[in-house]
Amino acid sequence: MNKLKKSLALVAMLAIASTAFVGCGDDTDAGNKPAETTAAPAETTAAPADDDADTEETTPAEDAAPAIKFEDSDPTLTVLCWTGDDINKMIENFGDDNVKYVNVGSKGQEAREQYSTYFAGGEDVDLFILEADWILDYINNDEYCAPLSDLGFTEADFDGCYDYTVSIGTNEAGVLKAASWQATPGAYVYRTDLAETILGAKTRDEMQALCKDWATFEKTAETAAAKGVAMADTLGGMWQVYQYNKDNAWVVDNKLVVDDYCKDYAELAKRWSDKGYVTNVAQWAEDGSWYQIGQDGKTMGYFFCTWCLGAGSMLSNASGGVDEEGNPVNPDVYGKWNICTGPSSYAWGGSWLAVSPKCNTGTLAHDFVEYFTVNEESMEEYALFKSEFVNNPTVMKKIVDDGKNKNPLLGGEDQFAVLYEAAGLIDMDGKITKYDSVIKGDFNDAVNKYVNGDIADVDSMINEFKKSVAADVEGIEVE
Amino acid sequence: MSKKVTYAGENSTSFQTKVLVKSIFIYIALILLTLVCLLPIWILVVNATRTHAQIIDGVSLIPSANFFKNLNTLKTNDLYTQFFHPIRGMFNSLIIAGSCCALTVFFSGLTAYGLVVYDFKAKGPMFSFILAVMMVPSQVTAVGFMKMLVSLDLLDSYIPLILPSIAAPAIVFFMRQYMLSSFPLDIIEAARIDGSNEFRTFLTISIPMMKPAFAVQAIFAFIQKWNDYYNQSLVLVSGKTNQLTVPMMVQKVLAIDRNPDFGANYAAITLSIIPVVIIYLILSKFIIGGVAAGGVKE
Amino acid sequence: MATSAQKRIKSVSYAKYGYIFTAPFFIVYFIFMLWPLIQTFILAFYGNGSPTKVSTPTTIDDFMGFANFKTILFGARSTSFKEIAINEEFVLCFKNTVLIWVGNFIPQICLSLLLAVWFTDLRVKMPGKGFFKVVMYMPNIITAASVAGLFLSLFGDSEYSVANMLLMEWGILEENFKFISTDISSRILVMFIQVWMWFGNTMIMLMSGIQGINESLFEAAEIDGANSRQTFWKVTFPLLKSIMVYTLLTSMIGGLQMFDIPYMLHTGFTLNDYIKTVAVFIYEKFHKDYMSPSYGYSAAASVILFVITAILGALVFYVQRDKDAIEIQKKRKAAMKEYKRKMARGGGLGL
Repeated sequence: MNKLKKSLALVAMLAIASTAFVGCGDDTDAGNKPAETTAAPAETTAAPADDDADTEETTPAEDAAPAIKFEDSDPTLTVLCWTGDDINKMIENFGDDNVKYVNVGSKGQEAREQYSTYFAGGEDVDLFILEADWILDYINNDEYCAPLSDLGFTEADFDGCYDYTVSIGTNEAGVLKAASWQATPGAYVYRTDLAETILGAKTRDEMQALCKDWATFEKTAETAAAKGVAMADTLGGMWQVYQYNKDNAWVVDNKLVVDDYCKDYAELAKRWSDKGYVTNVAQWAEDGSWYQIGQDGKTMGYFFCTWCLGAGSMLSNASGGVDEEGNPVNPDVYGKWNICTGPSSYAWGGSWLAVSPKCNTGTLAHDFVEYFTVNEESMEEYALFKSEFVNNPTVMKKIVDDGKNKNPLLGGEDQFAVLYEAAGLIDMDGKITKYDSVIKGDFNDAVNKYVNGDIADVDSMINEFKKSVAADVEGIEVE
Repeated sequence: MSKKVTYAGENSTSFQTKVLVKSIFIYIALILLTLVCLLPIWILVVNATRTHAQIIDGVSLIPSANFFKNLNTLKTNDLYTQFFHPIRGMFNSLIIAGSCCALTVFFSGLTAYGLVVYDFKAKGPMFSFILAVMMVPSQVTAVGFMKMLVSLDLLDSYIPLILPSIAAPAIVFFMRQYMLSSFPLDIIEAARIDGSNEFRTFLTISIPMMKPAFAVQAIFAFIQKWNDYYNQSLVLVSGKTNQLTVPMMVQKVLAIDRNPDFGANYAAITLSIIPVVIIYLILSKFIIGGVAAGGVKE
Repeated sequence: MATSAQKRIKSVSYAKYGYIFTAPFFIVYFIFMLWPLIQTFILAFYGNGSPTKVSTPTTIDDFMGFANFKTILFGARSTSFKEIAINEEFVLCFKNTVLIWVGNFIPQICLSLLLAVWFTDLRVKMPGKGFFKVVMYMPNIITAASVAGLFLSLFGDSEYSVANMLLMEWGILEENFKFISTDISSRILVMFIQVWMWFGNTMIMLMSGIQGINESLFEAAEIDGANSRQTFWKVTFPLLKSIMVYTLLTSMIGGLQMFDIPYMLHTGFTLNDYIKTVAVFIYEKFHKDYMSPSYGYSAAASVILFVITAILGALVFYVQRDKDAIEIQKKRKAAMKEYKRKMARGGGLGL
């Protein structure tokens, strides 16, 4: 299914984003009217970026009492998003009928282009949701994204949040432009029954001891593989953990950085795949195989993060799901899971709220952002409401201590207890670049070819990877 | 075609066996092909009747009983109702595909007629031009197209989706080839002598004679426009729910990435192909009935 | 008597209808399609990257002359890593396009022609003919996106895909075969899907061509004792030629610009290199990194594709062209004769 959408979804929308730029390019030869209209937005994007940034930096100081710069001319708060999953629950929890959302209806990756299409169309938008992979595109674009100070927030308001979410939400000029309502630490979620029969691990701690680092994890995988069970669900899942711990950003000083870490991962992937320590299924595969390996006991567990663990989520699918009456379809698997930190802590994805310069529902927008990212009380409420890992260590600590969260998929265990520790370790400062989604794609492509045996050795693989990046990304140096 | 013709040697046994053997062979081949054609579609439809859990569990050829449950999910689940309104979508798609189909067929016929029937200086260059533009890769022209729509303020309008179908080079070319091979020009001369004006000749004489070509191209055009997600999503930028077409809705349904219900997804796809199948079946009468072309039966 | 003069007057006065009848096509074409096309040609000579020089060495404002073409076609001779990479990518895409096109076009046209002849054969009386005809076109009705999704679940890489499950159950395979990620199988799969989707379409086109042939010719042939093969080669095939040219041309053009299925048939988030076509190259360069898109490469590749298609198209067309012209001439002559005959017979009434 996932590729279905990729398919034509991509085929389409982007072109409009592009037109803005093309308009700019053809000013000279294209004559009057068409050029004027199209070129205008492109120019604002490009040229005045620096000036704007400067003025904005001084804004918080000027406004001792934070003021909302937007008017309240439109009663309806319009939130732009690409999945109804979060926003539905948020609106339900927020409880104001004036909040509406527009769903561009595409996967996260494509949404980045669809947003710009939507912006170009000039429709109403007040707030919009951004994803970790492409947040930099938007927060560095003053045409589409206004500073949070315009909504009346100061940086101090977000002191309670996880630091990494604040630093990602801050643009190149140091202006805070987006706030996240969630932290997205990941962990290793495993089948308790298999862990006990195959590995003899009865508790979460015993299991964690068996996968505490990559070497131990591999040794454990050997035992499991002997019984025909893979320790890791997919290469995609391993990569989420591995890439997070990469020391360098992909691009430093406009140069592609390929360090030993990349080679290590490629070799690990190949070895594990050959030995059956990881299944040969792909994450998000159309045939549902990613979920089936869990139900069928082909994998010991999954690398899952906060948003994979709720009702109807990936873990639910891997457990066989529930029928209309809410009864497990596959009771042998449902609820027979537990969670441990895994070989290394990591974070996966994440979503941010940002405000459009065209926002015309200032007060409500402010309240909405405050409700989910600043106000600890409401954040706690939302955390329990959606089983969401909210972006506030104090709140999460309290929930863990109170022991209120019981996840039926995990047999009543609280995933937050484990994730809380992982969340504290997340540090993505300076590690994400705006080229990441393309570069990561190219890298995994090359690794997959190596794993499949299409590429003979690691060095050729790295070379292939560099070539793809050179061909795909304009403006960075590749050697 | 039901005409009874006596063939030479028809009554000899060897001839009859030969025909029989050939017919059996053809039949087997056709049945195999039919299976190949229908199996994937059948799986799609069957999946529309199965639950998410069943689909994840593997493929089946036997329908389950959950079609209405899936429909209900489409109707009630927020994830789907935000953009899936099949009736509205079908209406929109019908307007677009219907008008495109009519315009394409009519104007392509008209253009081809102009190119075949009349002698005029620009005829050669015009035809070469049509041939040349048939070969334009369609991917990149989108940039210029969008740019123009912005300047003409035609985004979010059906006009840029419908109007361009007047100019369909490939179909003009088809019609021209068709006319060359089976359109008797003398009939036009005859009509002229009878005092019919040129346009009327085209309407009343040439169109009926071109029926098979028109029917074929009408089916192709309709289906192509119905499924034309690429252009629709390019032009209908804001994705207003009341403007969405069926493929756009289906695409959005398929794009739900956090909690998709595969059963509902397949139900949405199935719903989206039903109208096309119906219209195809109606129009296909022309093909099946084997409308004899050629027009003049001496 | 005054026929030649009359003829001249007639043809002059009718010429204007040629313009009138073709005008709507050209007006609409110029507005909605030619302008974007010109745009593409212009872009091919400009740079790649973002609209500002902030992060990219060139911008779409920079006139680059033939640099984009040089990189795409001869990048391998350069020393720049980037140019080599882009050239290699294009060459691979081009190779894929040709391979997949040949592998889908030949079986498709053979199958379609065979079926069209069977279905229009007067001699073979088959009940249910109509049903078969309808069914064969069905695959074309479904949106390419759904088709790709369907085939991905039928022929997915994992052991859970239908094909792998069956093959493993029957003991033909020991472990799952990666249909999508293996070069040969993925290309064959695309060829198969293309044939599957389009043979019905081609068949119907050919059938309408055959039906356009005067039925009496078949009857005559049959009464004269011609067998099916003779009828086909002596009657159907020669008269079908102009529709065949059309089929050949559109299929060739469609094949060279093949996009949907190669673009969508992949596991994971990146495209499948083995089935990437030139059209996919064009699209990707254009869209992949939308913040600094490679318009120049994209447009240059489109121009190259256009030139290749045009050369091949011209070849096909000119092989056939003379015959067309002769045919027109013949028909016109016949028509004139008829007209003269009628004029002579009708006499004064015609005035």
